[in-house]
Amino acid sequence: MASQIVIDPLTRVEGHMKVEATVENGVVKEAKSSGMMYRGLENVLIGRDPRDAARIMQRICGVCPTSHGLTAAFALDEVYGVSGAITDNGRILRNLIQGANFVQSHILHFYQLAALDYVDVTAVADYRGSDPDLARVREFIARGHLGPFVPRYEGDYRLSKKENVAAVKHYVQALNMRRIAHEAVAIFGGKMPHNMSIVAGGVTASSDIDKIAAFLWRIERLIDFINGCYLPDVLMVAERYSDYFDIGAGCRQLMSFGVFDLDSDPDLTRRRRWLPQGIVGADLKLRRMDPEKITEEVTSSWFRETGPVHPYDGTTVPERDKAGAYSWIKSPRYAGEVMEVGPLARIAVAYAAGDPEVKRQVDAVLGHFKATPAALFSVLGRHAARAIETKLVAEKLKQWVLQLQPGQPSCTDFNLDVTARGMGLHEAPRGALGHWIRVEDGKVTNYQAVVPTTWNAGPVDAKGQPGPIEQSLIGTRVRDERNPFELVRIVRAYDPCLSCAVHVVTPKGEDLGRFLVGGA
Amino acid sequence: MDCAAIRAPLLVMAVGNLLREDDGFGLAVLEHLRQVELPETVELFDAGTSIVDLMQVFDRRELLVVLDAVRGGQQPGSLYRFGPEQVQSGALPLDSLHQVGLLETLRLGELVDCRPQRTVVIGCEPERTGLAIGLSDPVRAAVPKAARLVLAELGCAAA
Repeated sequence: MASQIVIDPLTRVEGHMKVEATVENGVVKEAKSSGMMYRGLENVLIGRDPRDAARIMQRICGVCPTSHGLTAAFALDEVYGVSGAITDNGRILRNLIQGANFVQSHILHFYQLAALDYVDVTAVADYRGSDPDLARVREFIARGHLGPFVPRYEGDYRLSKKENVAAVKHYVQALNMRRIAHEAVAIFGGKMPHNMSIVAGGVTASSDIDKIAAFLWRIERLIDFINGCYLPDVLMVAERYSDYFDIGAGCRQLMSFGVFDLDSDPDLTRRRRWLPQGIVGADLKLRRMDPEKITEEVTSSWFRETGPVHPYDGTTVPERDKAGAYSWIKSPRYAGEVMEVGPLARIAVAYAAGDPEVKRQVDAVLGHFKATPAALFSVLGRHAARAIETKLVAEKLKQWVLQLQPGQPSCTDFNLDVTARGMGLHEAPRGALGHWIRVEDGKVTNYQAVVPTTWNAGPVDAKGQPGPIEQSLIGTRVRDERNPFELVRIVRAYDPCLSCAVHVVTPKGEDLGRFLVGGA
Repeated sequence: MDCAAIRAPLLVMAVGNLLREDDGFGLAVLEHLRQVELPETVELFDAGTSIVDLMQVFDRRELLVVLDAVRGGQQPGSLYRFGPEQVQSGALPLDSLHQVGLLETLRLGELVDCRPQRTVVIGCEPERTGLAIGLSDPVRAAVPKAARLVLAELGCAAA
């Protein structure tokens, strides 16, 4: 007997993602992951000054504006011929902005988006202690204000009461930590959200001793939180939910574009990056990545059929009634293969490349659970990789900020009137992000962004290969079809982001007419 | 470095995506207000699309005025004024997979004692929210009216 489970929307941040799973005898037979919002924002850029891309592309997403701004800047560096001329200060400032952004995004993902799949917030309902954070949460629950803590699927909470209460305390602390991380981004990004200082040729922000000290102080506090709360909480969840090392393996092909530049080689595929570029499979052997082999197809997407095309030649023409289509997300492929992107991919590629710090951290976690590297391909593997990355990035930030040379230039000049094309290959917190731009006589003629969630949440392709999230779901045993928390946990571990939504306050069940204060 | 010490007590915050036509309403009002001489107690802030990132921005303000597109079922260009408490009752079903929007962010802010003393939303009914930059005629016409409403909230004489 086959039945359907529908979860819509799922992402908790704005934007809509729908997952449909067909379950037979308690096991997922078929999974369809759909983006329910049309994303064609690249079209807005056509005909504009290319420099606008570093501002406009930040607006396509409410979760990763910083990453889009930086990736656009990398593409523009190539358009204006300055990829090889980024100064050390410009390079380091970009790393600091993006690194602090990784830290805030990963803390948000674990505590505010994912933790409540594992932590039972209602354990605080009868809290009698004097901790003000926990008392506030208790009051929220007493007033029926579960607002920030739902949606959640009920049941299967396995932490002890004491552990749940401690984790809820960390949930509240994480909100404060994110404020600190945002301030760190804004010190050199100029503003958060939607940074102002990211430009082609570098960063407009200057560096002085005050800013360096302000940044350093914030990073120190974040490191304390990561070591004292975030990593231990991930390990605690992994202890109690260890079966999630066996759930949600996915496509077992991981790809990273690389992030955190260590030099300014004009060729982004040769540029040295702290987290390197590459591809690894289940054997954890490193393969080189060639961006020419990236294509997107739209077999199952509501876009006009174009066949697999490279992003330089991609189009974004909606076709709402297309037969067989079920998603607004395209299907990106590498040499025709399905690829997972994200922290797991970055950490696995760095591990395969032999980075000693990454290897030490990963081996320590795997050793703790007496697990092999194969366990990384799982729900918990993705959470663990994200936590390890947060720790290592924060420690790098501490070193990099001290490499700034106050007074030295952070930006390079260029000629505006160009006919050229450019590629930005970078990593957002949630995975590989690529921008491809064509420019004629100083005006944009084509722009395509291939974003992390497109790689992870894309639909079935022409060869019948499901996307990574779909593959993670297929074969999963669902204990209670009315309460499919296993599936929610699998999808959430990818940190999906489809937030291209319109921000419209829609007070449900309320007649807003009574708030009318001006006629049209 | 305590940024809060030099923070303006009155914050006018535009929320929305300027790439989605009338969702750029808030930003257009902000641009209008930039032409007006405002007291130093007022700060204008373009929040864009990252609502969940805003807690530190609206911390310790006396008044937060939010500008946003609001669907209330009236004619495009209609303006609304309401407080978050007026849309909270029954507005957020506990069993829905809703988004982290302004109301949720205000509530999360309460958890860390990080909130404005008072919040007012000035909203405008959108006509179009497709993929383009620029407002529809009725929403553009509402911008100066909305700016006057904001000035009234701030206790400033209309310009």
